[in-house]
Amino acid sequence: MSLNKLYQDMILEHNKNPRNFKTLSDHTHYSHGHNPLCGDDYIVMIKLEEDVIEDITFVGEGCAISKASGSLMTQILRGKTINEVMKIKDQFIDLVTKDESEKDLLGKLIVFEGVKQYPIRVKCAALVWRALEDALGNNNSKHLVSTE
Amino acid sequence: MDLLKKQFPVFKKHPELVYLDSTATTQKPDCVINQMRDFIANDNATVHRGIYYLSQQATIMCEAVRTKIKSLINANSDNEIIFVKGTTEAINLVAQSYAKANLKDTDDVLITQMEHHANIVPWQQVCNSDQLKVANIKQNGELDLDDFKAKCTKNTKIVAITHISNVLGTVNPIKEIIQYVRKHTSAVVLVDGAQAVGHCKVDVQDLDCDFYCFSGHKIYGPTGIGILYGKYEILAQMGPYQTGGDMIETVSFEETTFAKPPARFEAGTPAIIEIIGLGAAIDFLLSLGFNNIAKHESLLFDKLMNDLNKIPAVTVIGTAKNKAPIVSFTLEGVHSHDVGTVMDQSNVAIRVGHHCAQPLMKLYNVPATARISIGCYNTEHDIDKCVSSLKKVVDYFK
Repeated sequence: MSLNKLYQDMILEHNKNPRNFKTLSDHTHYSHGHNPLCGDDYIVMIKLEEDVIEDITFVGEGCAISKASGSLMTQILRGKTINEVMKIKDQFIDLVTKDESEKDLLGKLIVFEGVKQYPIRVKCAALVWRALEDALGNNNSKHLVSTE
Repeated sequence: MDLLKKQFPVFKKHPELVYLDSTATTQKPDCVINQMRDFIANDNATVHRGIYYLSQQATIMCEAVRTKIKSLINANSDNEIIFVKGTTEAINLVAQSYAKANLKDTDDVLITQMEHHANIVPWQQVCNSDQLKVANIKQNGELDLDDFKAKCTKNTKIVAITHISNVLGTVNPIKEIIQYVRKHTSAVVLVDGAQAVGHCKVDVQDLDCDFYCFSGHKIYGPTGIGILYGKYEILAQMGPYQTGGDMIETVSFEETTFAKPPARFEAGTPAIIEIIGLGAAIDFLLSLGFNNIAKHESLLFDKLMNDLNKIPAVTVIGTAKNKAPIVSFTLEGVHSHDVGTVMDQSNVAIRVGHHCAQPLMKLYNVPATARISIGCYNTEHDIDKCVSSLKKVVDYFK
């Protein structure tokens, strides 16, 4: 197994220079995602107008896979409707967990395809997406998700 | 010692493997595997109640292991050696059986900041948070003895402390600590010896601890078996932890009387096969000799530390003067999970994460660390491969 399949150049670059890596003070939705196994810890913040993601950012710390996942996730989701967001999220989770899956909505996120060969790292890639799912989910949530 | 690797079949199956996670669990030598296999194949029977030959033989073999452990840690009598699942169960046994019955609301339990979750959480189950006192450590990972002494008061009824930190490698001055506790309190002292028994000679009478715990699988034996040592006069006052068969004297539907220690604390059929394996592991340790083990491991550890210190991106966490061959570190700009994955590609197995010591991670303000730990089978070549793979990580994430 080549390491480059897991750590694609784009992942390494986004790890070094994560996009949308800041607090969103006027967010309408947020969630705190935590992986107690490795300590990955992020807050995803979303400004939703009607059902469109007006802005989305993330802050926190974790490994290269989780940070690049947050960076690329926030890039692709800005301007999308909740309906589109959920479809992209499902395709992303399938990408890192299933051998064959629909990929037409994923764009650059396809660089995470190698992660499924490293089962222990799937949670790293999925963490910010689980937080996203929780942020947009029902309002009774404590907005704290854990991947363990 | 290089020939030692040949006694561990895992390295035949995986000749490229550089195993540097012995703190989590050690690999098993042929002698342990073979004795367990032989027992299952030729001698299998239950213990203690069989009238027939095989069961009597199994009982003799298991009790011989108890005697072996008594000698290994220099207990006063076989009856002070209790077979448990591991260190975690040993601590839970003392918490549930001793602490629950003896702790009053005004009493304290004193632990330290470097404890494993297994020596924190069981105490939280039997006392309030304001009764659980925590002695600080210094930045270099040594116990802050002044702080320990300040928190060790006449209210302290239990002191629970690790012999060797599984994260920092710090070897605590247990004997000195216990002398202080004896002088100033009436507390009992439990020592978590999970990381000690495979590396150095432990003498419970010399330490004067009340309880000492360790696990078989960290000293080249099987999982599922560990030891709780307790001073007999304390064990004799303690009620059972679990109840059932093997731990009773007489049972009627109206009343049950419990057996004396150690049987009182060994409800149900014990882990017979694992006990046999633990006996073989102790023979293995003694055949190497603790002096030889310590000499070999510290040579490798010095080399490792020397090499690590030459990599500027490495920050070592825990630089106590007296250290076991365990080193935690962070790599600048690279999360420890990525360190572990990249090193694994070079067949170097290390541990990454919080090592079941989340409060300690918080103290050093790191989410996780990478940890390298050395066992008797490691070689200079292992250290070289480990360091070169670590340099690869640095290059990769540059």
